[in-house]
Amino acid sequence: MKKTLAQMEDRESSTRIDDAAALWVARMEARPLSPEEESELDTWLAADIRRQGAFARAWAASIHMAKAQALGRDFFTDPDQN
Amino acid sequence: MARVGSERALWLAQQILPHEPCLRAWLARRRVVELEIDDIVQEAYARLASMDNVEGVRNPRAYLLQTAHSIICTHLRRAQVVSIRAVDDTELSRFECQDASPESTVCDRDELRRIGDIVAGFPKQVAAVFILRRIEGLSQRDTAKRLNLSESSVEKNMAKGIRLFMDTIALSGISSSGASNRCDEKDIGADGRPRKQYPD
Repeated sequence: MKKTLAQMEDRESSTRIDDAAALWVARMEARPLSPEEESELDTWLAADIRRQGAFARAWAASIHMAKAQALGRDFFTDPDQN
Repeated sequence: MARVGSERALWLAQQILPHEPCLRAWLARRRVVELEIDDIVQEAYARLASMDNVEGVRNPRAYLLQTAHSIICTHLRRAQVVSIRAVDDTELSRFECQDASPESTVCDRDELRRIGDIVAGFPKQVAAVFILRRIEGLSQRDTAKRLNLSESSVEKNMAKGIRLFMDTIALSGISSSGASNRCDEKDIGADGRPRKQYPD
């Protein structure tokens, strides 16, 4: 049976990478990262080129999503009503 | 390795993200299995993120496909897989995508509505956090107070929103024409006709 490249090289799944990339972008956009976090992010990115891509893609996705601000509050139902 | 900067992230959002469904459709036709497609997409973004400058990129979609093609070749050489046929340049240039034209990559009202619909489909708490943070412009701290959550939970919900949005991009794209901005699949499509770019 044909194995994927990821399996052949026993690599971290792209899904897990996307999860981590989204978290880093959310953090970075919410507040300045601490020096420890900065270095942790750099170490994380340096270990796999796919992480660099996932991080860039997650950031781009977040930038695109943020355009929704132009829609205004009325577009959405009240998030406070649970 | 330099971390991608905000300017390049913006370029990726405007020029590359709209073409991702096209890239994935093209990769699928190359009979690259699903997991590899995600790997290749990530690596393609990495290459585009690390380019010295992107001023010379006249056709972002074609450049994206070429980048992916180059990644596949590199991996195949490394893995010493020999069964994949070569791709020539004419195949790259013939591959037609019915995706956003350059002018329509500017976010128009319909595209905003598409983002809004995607967000509205998020799990309730994820949507609530996103709306307070991005629509109402509250800080993470104020969002946390308003929803009675920890700041860390707000962060995780924002991450979840980004993550879900990434999956949506992969599955159906982000343009206002929705799923129809996939590539022209007339060669393999059941009806033999190119897909329409816009709904009636």
